Amino acid sequence: MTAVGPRARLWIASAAVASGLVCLAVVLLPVLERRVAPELGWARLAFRPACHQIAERCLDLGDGPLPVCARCFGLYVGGWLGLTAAAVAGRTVRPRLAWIVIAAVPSAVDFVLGFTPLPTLDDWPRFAVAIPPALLAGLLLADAVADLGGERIA
Amino acid sequence: MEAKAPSMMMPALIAGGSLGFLSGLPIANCACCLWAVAAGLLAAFLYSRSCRSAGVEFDGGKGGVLGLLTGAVFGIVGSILNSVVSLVTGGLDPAAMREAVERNPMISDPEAADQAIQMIESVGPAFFILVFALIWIVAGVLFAALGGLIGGSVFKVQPVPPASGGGWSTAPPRTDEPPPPPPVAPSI
Repeated sequence: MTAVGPRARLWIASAAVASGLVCLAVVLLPVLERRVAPELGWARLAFRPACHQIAERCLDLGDGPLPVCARCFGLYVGGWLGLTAAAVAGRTVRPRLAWIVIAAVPSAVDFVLGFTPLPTLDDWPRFAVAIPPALLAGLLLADAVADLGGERIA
Repeated sequence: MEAKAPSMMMPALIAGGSLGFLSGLPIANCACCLWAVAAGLLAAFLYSRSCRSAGVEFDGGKGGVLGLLTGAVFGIVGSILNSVVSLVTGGLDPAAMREAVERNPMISDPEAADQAIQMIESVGPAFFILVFALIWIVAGVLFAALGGLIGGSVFKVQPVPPASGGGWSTAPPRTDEPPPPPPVAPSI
């Protein structure tokens, strides 16, 4: 674990806020689309390059499917949690790549099962198993952002 | 004297080109963002090996720059291949696109679906090729930069600290004398 200086911490916090805004946009888009402006449906296209957007595989919080699938949303939330944890702690850690690979096994198995007739996870479990590998990747991302930001204390 | 940093172009071309090609194939493009992240990671891995052998530092900052470069290659290769495949298979045919919009459950508002259909019919396939290529490149650059940043942290290479003493080894000088005999226990 390495403590970071205030400038590097600010960079990590900025990245955490940016990723948090993406997560917030994912959650708010169906709400705004249904309750405020139906034309906002076009904004779903912004998430299209990164996700298949199959509606049956997207979480529905009551106002229609989210603009990304449950697995993608789990990855976004996990990344945001990792960045936020590093920003709050003011420290960075570098988990080994093997840990991420191990943490990604449930998602990978579910992904592969999707190409077979075997049953796959439901949306909420699929969302949940995507969080751990993304959280670890978020911690690594925080370490890299701290490199961009500059000084390290220890 | 500081060692010269190896070129980023080769790892970017290898990683961006190969994974961009794979992502452009219709059977493999289901996890598009992960392909781009993987391209950034692969480029970081390849570049870290070059840096290690050259004795040059590699960290998240350089990984991010490498990821941007890799993403550009990834986006260009992937978008070209995807456009060619779409043209060949008829995926950009306005009738096929109209059907895709009508069947898309994501577009819940009928007005929005009508707007999309009207737009598809008013512009030709060339417009969509350009738009898709642009989106592909932007997304590729963003996600590969993410992969490059993470790769820069995973495969970090610390600079080798320069040895003190004007470049000479700090190890004790070698002598050709035989080692001293082991201590003998005093006899009582």
